[in-house]
Amino acid sequence: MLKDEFLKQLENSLAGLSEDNKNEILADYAEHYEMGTLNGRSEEDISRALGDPRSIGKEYLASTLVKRAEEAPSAGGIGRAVLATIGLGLFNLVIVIIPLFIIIFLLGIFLVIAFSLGCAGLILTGCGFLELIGIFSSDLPISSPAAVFIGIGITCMGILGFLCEFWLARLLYRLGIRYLKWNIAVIHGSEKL
Amino acid sequence: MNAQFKKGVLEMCVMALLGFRDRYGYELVHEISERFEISEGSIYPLLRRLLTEGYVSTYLQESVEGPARKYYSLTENGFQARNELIKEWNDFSNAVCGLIEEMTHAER
Repeated sequence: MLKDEFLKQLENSLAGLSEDNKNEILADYAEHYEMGTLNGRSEEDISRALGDPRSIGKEYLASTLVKRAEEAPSAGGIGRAVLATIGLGLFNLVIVIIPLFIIIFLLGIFLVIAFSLGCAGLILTGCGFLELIGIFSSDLPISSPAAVFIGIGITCMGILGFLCEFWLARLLYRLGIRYLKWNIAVIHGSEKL
Repeated sequence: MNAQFKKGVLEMCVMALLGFRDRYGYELVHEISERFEISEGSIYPLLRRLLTEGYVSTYLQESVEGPARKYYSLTENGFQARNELIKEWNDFSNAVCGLIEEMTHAER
């Protein structure tokens, strides 16, 4: 492959990056070709040693998207970063998808627990209160004031659960970003998807 | 050598080289590929990551022959990261070498 062809393929695979970024990256490789030519290497030879421009492009894209997700946290942002990292190779697919499912599973379970506690607490408080003012008589095995207090307690646990969920999500987000970065830095995307 | 294995240490090699003096991209590629085989194209994405992490800074410098070169220079943070990486690597490789040595002696 000649220099122009390499740069063209690289440019195509950098779609999604800002023009400035793209131009800087292309300039780095153009400089590499010029230096190589000065050292008496042929463009063909330089291209072969550089490797596949499309997988190089993918790597730039993945690290840019991870950086963006880190600076402006959002579900869509991290989703794009995960997809881009997975796209680097088969190995990445496996070692990113499994922790991702574990994270989603953990957060899901936590959310269900917090939601159930919140609902149960509210219902118990409601029943206790209605019984207390005499509109409603329930078969609760505890006295109505006790039901109100225990209900409030359980509701608070539910709210605490939601706060924990929020905190856990933030922690896992940060860890996830670090994991993706480590992935890009260490895993060689030689296997094609 | 295994490609997975090499990519992880590439970052440390680049930082070790930059710790000595500023270098331009082609020079880094050349220094490393003389010692072990790498896919040369992966150095530039690595340099860019180091740049966005604030471990290196860049400046352009004219050269007598050929185009202006983009030099990479370790920042304060970069030096710190470099020292940590090298220390970790030394501990790790000493442990592995020690183990291999012991086992080689045990075989005899």
